[in-house]
Amino acid sequence: MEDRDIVNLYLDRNLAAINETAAKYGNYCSSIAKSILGNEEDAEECVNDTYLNAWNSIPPHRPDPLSTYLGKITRNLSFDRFRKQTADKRGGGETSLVLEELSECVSGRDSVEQAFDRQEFVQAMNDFLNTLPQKKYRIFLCRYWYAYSIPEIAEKFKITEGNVSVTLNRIRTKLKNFLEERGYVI
Amino acid sequence: MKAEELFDLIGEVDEKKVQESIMPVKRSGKTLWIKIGAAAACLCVVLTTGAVAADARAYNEAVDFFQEYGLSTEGLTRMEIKAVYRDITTKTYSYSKTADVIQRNISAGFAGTEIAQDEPAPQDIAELWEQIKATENKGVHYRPDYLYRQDEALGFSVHAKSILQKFDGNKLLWNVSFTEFYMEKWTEVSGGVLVWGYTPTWSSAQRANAWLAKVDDRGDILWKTELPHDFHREYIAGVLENGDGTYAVLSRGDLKFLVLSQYSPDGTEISTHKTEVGNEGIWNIARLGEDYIVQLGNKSTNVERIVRVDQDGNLTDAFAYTSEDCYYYITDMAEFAGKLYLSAYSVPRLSDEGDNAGTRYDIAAVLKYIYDNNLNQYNETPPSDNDNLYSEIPNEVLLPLLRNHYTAVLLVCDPSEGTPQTYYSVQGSLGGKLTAGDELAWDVESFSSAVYCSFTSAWTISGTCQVFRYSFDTNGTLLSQEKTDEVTTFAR
Repeated sequence: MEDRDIVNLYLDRNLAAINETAAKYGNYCSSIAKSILGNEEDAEECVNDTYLNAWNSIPPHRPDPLSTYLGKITRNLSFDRFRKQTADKRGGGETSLVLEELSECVSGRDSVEQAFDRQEFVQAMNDFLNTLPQKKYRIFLCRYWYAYSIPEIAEKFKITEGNVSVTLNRIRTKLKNFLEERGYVI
Repeated sequence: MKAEELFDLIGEVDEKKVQESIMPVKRSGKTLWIKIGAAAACLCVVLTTGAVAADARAYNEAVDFFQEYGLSTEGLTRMEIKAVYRDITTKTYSYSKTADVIQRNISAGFAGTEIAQDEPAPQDIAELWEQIKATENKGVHYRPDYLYRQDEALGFSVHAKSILQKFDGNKLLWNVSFTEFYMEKWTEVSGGVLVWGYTPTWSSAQRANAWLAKVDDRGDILWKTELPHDFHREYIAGVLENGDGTYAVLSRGDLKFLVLSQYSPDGTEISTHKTEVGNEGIWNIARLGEDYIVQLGNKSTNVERIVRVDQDGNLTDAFAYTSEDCYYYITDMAEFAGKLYLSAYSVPRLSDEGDNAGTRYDIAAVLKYIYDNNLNQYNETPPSDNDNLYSEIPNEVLLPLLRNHYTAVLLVCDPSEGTPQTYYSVQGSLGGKLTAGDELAWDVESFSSAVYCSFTSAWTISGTCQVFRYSFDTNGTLLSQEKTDEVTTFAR
């Protein structure tokens, strides 16, 4: 079913919207949740919560594309659960490694001390991604948006794992320099 | 900010890019080209009228493509036209004739600046000889040495070890030896020196692998490695620092492959990729953003081209610099403030390319003038004093010929297209080294003395050049001209 037809089901408050969403995007949302959380049960709960969130937010939202909208919900829910699990000394998945890599780009200090406009920062991130060739920003987002593992990224792009690691390392260095040049002491 | 917050914020970036990232990755053009090539080889075996019709369609498509993009088919055979068309449309850029077609015309459509430079006065030439002596053994420098041993079984001497010595003036700081490979070149890098060479052999039938080693600032060998590539003969043309501790190694395999390998700081190979480019040497390499610019050439055919290579080793562009009136010879390349700078020299194009003095295209016109005007007459017997060079033609006759013939050129190019945007030129000189720092320094080697000798095999005209250094800011504006005390030699 086309995305606009699925969205229309949500707008008509037709419960078939959930079934159609699950059929088309169930695997997609599951893979995001599993990458971040590292286990099936927690991932399944997050995916179910994604459907509930979508039901509660459409309308008023009319997402386009639907895939990214659902993906963001799953990502946010999964990451919230990961943070809770980490606080409870549980959890796993690729996310710990991803955060460890991203910690190279940040100071680690509480950002309350350094106020900045969230929207402006996201715009700066978009500006940064625009400086990268397509392959590079795809690799970056596979790692830091989707939390794919290094072997998964290597398989997807048909390059070696070493190549993926080196590429990500270089992009993180560029990101840090890019943000610092724009006054983001993060 | 904490890593979790950054991860969170990354979740809000451009949705279009997020969606693109999850799409299946298309196979590279290189693989597609190989498949087409293999299919074409099979078709050649069974040539039917159907195949002839298909060939005609392919040729017509190629010609249409050439016309659409204003490319010239002049001088190309039918097969070459189709091969260039395939090379461009599959973004392979490995066919040598493609660069001739995608020419960046230097003489058309953009302005440049000729920099005035005084011709050398007689006292300049006299001072040069003193400067040559004074600059020897000055400052930190490296010296190679090679030891050979007699092999009783073979009956001749073979390589025993290569030695690299580091001096500060006349003081030896350290020396290091390599027995596994014959040392060719070295370059200073962060934390030491990279040294490379190849397995010493005494016969072309023997396999010769490329070797790479790193020596630290104290002269200790940190690591050495034999490149694990399946070539009969491979040599490293150059090594570049990537800026993150890794190294890009460009090598030539079996005289037909351009190989890009990435090495980690500890000498482990991260990746390697080879592209068949034909019998072209690797003359110069430079970084260009995330990619590399490589100058390939063949002196016998007077052909050179520049290819752009991405970090994975894929050729992403190929072009040549040419004009109707001149040959251009690129001597160095550098990226500076987002632009590509090419140091070069130009000489007038030969009216008859067959008159190339045994493929010495750049000096052929000068030699022809000397022969046609009987300038190479004996004037005096060779002096016994070794400080004076013996020349069959006086310097005051020969030097103006060279200064009129050669022009140093600095091309300032758009880094994505390689198209020249402007240039600087200096008459009577060769374009030399480029050094990028806070400013860009361009060394221009100004002909200062010349010697003609018909008895030497390595050269016919030789001499010295005084180095002038031109500095440019990040906008490409000329800031200063400095007459240095450095001297280089030339030999053609």
